[in-house]
Amino acid sequence: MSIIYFLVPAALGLGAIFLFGFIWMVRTGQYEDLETPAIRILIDEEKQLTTENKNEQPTI
Amino acid sequence: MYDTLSDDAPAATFRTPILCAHCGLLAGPKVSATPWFCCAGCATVFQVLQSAGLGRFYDLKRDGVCIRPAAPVVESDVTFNNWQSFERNHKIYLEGVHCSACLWLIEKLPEMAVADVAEAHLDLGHSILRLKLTHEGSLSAVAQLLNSWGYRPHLIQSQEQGFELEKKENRSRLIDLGVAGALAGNIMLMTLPLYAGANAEWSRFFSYSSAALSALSVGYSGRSFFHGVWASFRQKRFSIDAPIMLAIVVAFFYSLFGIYSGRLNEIYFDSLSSLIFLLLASRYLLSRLRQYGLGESHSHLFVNADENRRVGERFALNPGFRLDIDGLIRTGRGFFNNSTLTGESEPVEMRPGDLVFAGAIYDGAAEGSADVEVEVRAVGRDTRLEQILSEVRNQNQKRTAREQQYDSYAKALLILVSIVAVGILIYFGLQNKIDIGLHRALALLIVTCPCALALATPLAQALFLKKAFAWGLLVRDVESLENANSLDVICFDKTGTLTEGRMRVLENEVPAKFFGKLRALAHASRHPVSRAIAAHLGLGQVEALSNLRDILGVGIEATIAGKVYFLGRTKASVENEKRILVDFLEQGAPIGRLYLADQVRPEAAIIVRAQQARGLRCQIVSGDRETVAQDVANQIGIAMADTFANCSPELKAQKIDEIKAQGQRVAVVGDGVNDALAMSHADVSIAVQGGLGAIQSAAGVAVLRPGLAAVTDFFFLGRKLQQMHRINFIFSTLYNSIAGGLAIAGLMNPLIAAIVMPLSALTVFISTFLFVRHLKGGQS
Repeated sequence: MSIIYFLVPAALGLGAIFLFGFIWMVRTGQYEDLETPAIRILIDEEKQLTTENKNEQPTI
Repeated sequence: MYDTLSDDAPAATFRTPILCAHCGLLAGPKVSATPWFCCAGCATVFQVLQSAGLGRFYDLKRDGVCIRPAAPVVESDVTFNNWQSFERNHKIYLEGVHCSACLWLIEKLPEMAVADVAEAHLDLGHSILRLKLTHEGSLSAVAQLLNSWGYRPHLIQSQEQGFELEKKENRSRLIDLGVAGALAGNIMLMTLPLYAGANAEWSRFFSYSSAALSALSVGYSGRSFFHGVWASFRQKRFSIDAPIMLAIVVAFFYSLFGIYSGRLNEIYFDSLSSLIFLLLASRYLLSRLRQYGLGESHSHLFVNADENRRVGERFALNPGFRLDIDGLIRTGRGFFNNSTLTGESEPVEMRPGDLVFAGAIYDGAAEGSADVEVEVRAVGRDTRLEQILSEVRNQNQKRTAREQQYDSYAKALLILVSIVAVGILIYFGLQNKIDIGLHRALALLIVTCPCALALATPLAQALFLKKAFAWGLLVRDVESLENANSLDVICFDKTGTLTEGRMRVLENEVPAKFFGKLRALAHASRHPVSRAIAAHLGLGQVEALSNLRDILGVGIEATIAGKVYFLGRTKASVENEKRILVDFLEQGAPIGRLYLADQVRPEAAIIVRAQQARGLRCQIVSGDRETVAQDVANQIGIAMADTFANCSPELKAQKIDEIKAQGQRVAVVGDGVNDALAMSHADVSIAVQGGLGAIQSAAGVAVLRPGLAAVTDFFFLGRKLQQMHRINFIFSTLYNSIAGGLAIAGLMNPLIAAIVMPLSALTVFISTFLFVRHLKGGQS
C-alpha cells in the first residue's frame, strides 16, 4: 500500500502539469477568441483553390 | 474590370428585386452608372476588389452564411493620412466585418503589395484586427486600403486601457477558477478514503494532504472574497460575501480542529473547496454575462470620432461620407441625411452657413454645385451626437428605485441570516452540541443568497435596454421602461405621430398630358404641398417655365410655353375640413384638382386598439383643428370625449398634469417637437420622430425606426421586464425560505448547500438571459 505515498504526489504532479498548461493557455489569450479560428480553418482550404483558379485563368 | 460587370449585369437586372452586387441589399432607385449597386460606396468597393484580384470574396460570401450585409461607408482616404506610427503592432477596430468572406479578405492583407503587412489577425467576435507591419510598412496605407474595401478602420489607441484591464481581469479570474477547480477535484478524491473508512495511518495521510490543499484553496482561490469583504467593511457596508467568508473561515478552522482532535467525520475540506470553486465559477459566468450584456454599447452603431480633425480646419466632403464632426458649411450646396439626429429620413439640402452635425451622411452635391466644404466646429466628445449619447449613458447608470428596493431586501436578508446563524450556534452551544449547531449554521450561511435579486435585477435591466436598442428604441433611463407597465393613460399627439406627418396626394384629377407643366410648377416651390405633388408625380418630363411668382399662402404662378399656369388654392376650391384642395389653372380656367391629406398611419388603429384592450385609456391631444382631430379619432377608434383639439404646448402639459392629479400615470407619445413640454411632465415619454435629437429635449425614449409599431414593442418590453422581476423575486423568496428552512432544520448538509447556492444564482441568470433572448418583436 505504500505505493500510495508515491502515487498521490505523482497524480498531483500530473494535475499540476495540466493546470500550468491551462494557465499558459489563458495567459496567451487562447480562450479569448473562440469564434474566428473555427471559421479560419475552413477558409484555408478555399485559399488554395483561389490560387489554383488564378493560375488557370489569369483574369481581370 | 467593367467587362466582368457587364457579364453579370443581365442576370442581375432581370432578377426582381434588383440586389446590390456588393452588399446584397435592395438596390435603390438612386443609382449612378451601375444600376446593380445600392450606393456609390458599394460600387467603389466592388471595383477596388475586382481590380485587386479579390473577386473570390463574393463567392465566399455567397457560400458562407453572411450574417448582416451592410453597405460600406467609404471615407475620404485623406482622413487616414495622418495615421503615423513607429510602432509595428497595432490594434484596429473595423466596422462592418461579419462573415467568413470578410475574414478571408482581411487576412489577405499580408499578400497585398501596397500594404507591407507582416501579419494580420482578425477577431470576428469583437471586430478587432491585430496587425503587425513590416519595417517599411505604413499604417496609413493599410488604413486606406481597408477603407477602400469598405471596412472603416478605427485605431484602438494604447490609451484605451479600460479594455485591456477588463481583459486582464477576465484572464486572472479564469486562472483563479481553474486553480480552484483543480484543488477542489483533488481534495474530493483525497477525502474519499476518509468517507470509505480508511485505517488510522491512511486517514491521517489523506486528512493532512487535503488540509494542505484546502489551505491553498482558501488562501489563494478564496482571496477575492476576503478582498471584497474587507473593501466593503472599510466603507462601512455589509458585503454579500460576508456570510460566505464567515462560512469558509469557520469551516476551515473547524476542520483543522477536527483533525487535531481526531474526529475525522467533522472534516469539511471537500465542501469548502468546492464551495469556493462553484462560487468563483458563478461569479465568472456572471461577470462575463454582464460584460456581454452591457458591453456592446450604443456607440457601436455610431461614428467613432476621428481624433485627427481640428476645430477650424476646412475640408471637402465626398458623397457617402458619414460626418464625425459638427461643422459649418462654407461653400457648396449639398444634400444631407440627418436621420440619426432628427429622424427625418429624406435628405435635406443644406447651404453655406448651415450647421451640419456628426452622424449625418453627405448624400452628394446639389445640382450645379461643387462638393460641400465644411469648417469643423466641434470634434470628438464635443459633438452634439456624442453629448446626447453620453447623456443617455449617464442616465442609464443611475440606480433605479427597483434596484434600491432589492438592495435593501438583500441587506435585510443577509443580516437576518447572520443573526439566525449566531442564534443557532448559541442555542446548540448551550446544549453542549456545538457540532450540530455549527453544521446547521454553516449550511444556512452558505445556502441563503440574495444574488438572485441583487445581481439579476441590473442584469435584467441591462439586457432589456440592449434588446430595446436592437429593436430601434433608445431608452434614456431604465425608469421609463420600469414605468411602462403601470400606466393608465396614453396621450397621442396627432400630426406626425398618429398620422404620417406629411401631405400625400389622395386624388389627382389633372389629365396626364399636363403632368410636364404640373411637375415644373411643383418642383419650383418648397412648400410641403408642392413637394407632395412633386413626389406623387415622380420622375418624368419637366417643362421649362418663366416668370415664376410665389403668391404667399395661396399658390404659385408661372408662364410655360406662353400660357400662365397657377397651382394653389382658388375661391372655387371649397374648404373641405379633412382634405386640402389644390386647383391647377390654365389662363385662369380650371384643368383639374388635386386632393391632399395627412394620412393616418395604417398601424395606428391596431396599436391604439391593442392598448385599449389592456385597459389603458388612449387620448388624442392635438394642436390641430377640432374636425381634423375628430376625424383621426374616428378612424383609429378613440372616443370623442378623449379627443382634445386646439391644444397649445402649454395646454398639452396642463392636460397631462390634470390626469396626474387624479392619481393616474400618463405616457405621452409624440414627435418630440411641439409636445416636448408635455413630455417632460409625463411619467413615460416616447418620441416617435426626431431621432436622437428628441431624447435631448424631453423624451425618455426615442424611436429610431419609422412607424408606430415600436411603441407597442416598448410597452411589450415594459410588461416583460416587470414579469421578469416578478419571476426573479418569487424564485429568490421561495428558494431562500425553503433552503434556509431545510438548513435550520438540519436537513441540509453544508456540502449540498455549497452546490445548491451557486446553482440557484446560475438558474436565475440563465433564465434571465433565455427570457430576454426569446422575446419576439422589433418588426415594423
